[in-house]
Amino acid sequence: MSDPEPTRSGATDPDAPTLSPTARAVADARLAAVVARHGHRLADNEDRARVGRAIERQVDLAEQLRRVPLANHDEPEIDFVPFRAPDTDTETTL
Amino acid sequence: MSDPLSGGIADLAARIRSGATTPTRLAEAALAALEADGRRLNAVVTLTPDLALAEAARAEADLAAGIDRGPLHGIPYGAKDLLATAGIPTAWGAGPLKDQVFDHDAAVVERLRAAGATLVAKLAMVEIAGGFGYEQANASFTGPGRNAWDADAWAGGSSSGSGAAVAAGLVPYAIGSETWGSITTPAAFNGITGLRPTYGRVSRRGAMALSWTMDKIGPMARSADDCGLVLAAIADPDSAGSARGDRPPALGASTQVVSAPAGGFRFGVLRAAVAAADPAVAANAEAALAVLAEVGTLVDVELPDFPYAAAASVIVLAEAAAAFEDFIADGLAAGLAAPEDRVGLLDAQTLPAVDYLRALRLRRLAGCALDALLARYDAIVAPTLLFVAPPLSAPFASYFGRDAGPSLGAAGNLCGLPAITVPTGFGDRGLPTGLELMGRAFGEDRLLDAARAYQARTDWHTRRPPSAATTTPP
Repeated sequence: MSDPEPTRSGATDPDAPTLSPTARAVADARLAAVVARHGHRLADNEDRARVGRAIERQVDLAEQLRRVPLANHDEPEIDFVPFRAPDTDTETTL
Repeated sequence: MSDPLSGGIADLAARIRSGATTPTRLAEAALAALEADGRRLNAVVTLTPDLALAEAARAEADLAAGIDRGPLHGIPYGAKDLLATAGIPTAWGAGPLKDQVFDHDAAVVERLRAAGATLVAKLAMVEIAGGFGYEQANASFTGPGRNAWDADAWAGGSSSGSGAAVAAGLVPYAIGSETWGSITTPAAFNGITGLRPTYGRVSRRGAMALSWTMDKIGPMARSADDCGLVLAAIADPDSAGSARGDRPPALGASTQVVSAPAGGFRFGVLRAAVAAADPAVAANAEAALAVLAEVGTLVDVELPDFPYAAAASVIVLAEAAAAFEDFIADGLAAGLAAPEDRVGLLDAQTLPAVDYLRALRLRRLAGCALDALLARYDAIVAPTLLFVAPPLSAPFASYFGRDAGPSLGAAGNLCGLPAITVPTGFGDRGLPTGLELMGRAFGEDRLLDAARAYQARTDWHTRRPPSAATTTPP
């Protein structure tokens, strides 16, 4: 399913990313989650708008990442090393 | 009266060994200069006179006993205030943490002590290394970092105090850190030389973590020679501080002798970045390229097509949001200096894991493509910043927010690559400009050689601001 016309939030913010309706819905949902968890930290509507703009930018960033094709075998750069403590002289042999 | 701290590290080291000065005199001179000009520039968080004078006394005793710990022996330095120092506050630039004291030293501080260096100050920085998304210069509990060349201009961030203090001649060198631009920006804005090592080259143990996969620690000094000497002392890829278990290629000995490859250096020029720079920055970059052409070949290049900035942003946001989740939950962000920082990273608390992992997957591809390009050159070069330091009162959106075109900073930091910035002259409002040279992973030696070759033919790195310290020891 393709998105209809993209929309730009905050007519006063010329740098606001232009989001598709789907991306807009994702951004709105994420802002709602932030408000639910951290709403008491938002002093006023300006704070809320600031967080909203930041989320919109992140959604836009994620869209940029998705334009690069990745294959199933393209692994993330994760440096995971299974832990094993150094052997000691008192270790019991099973 | 002549400045007791003038000259490079090698010169100061020679003066110590000739008896022309002593580690104690150098420490006292640095402490006095930092107290006067360092405070004026908002570059100082904490002076460490007791520690400094004790370390200086030990340095003198060691030399008297025939123990020479190398070129940094008895030389004073400042450390960005995100490096832990036992018993001395480490505030990470944040008012809510101004009384934070650790019981251990960062690995870098340990290594510099082993090299005989003298810690004279914890230097100012942008709060939480800028991780909360500050949008203007006034984003530290010590006030906005002031530029050594113009106190009404920004020093850059997040290693603000390190950049300004070195430029003003208050310390011969300082330690900074970079997640994305935090060494190169203040170095370029203040007209000094800054080296961002390869990710994993320098242990991060005891340093504030903003982004576990992007944080690097490196030297900020007056010349490539000095950066090489400091890097040789602090490089330590120990498993506790490095995310990589494999041992990187060793650094060469810092001989301070320019070692040009046979046939000269090969430089790739990010021409689009030169074209996007302010006119004076571009003109200085062109002049610098003409100097580089004396020691090598120049070829215009483009970076492989990847959304470097988007990937780097997503990674930093996700990791910083996790690293500071408790800081936010405890309400400490409300005490940060910049209003925008008080609600910073709330947005990233809902950043999807799949977005973060996609950025990490893309990083591997981008790193391979970049290495294939860099394998053909000793360095890719571009203006470090497209403009000079903005006025303190200027919102960042009017500078950093504009379309910047291709950037070495985003690509290099995403992929953990080393870079060095060298001063190239002066631009608008008489403020310094810089050129960045970026190389292959663990290719610091070649970058240092290229920067030394440039500085052997120019004197921009020897320029000092008119107000540079001439304070004499008490």
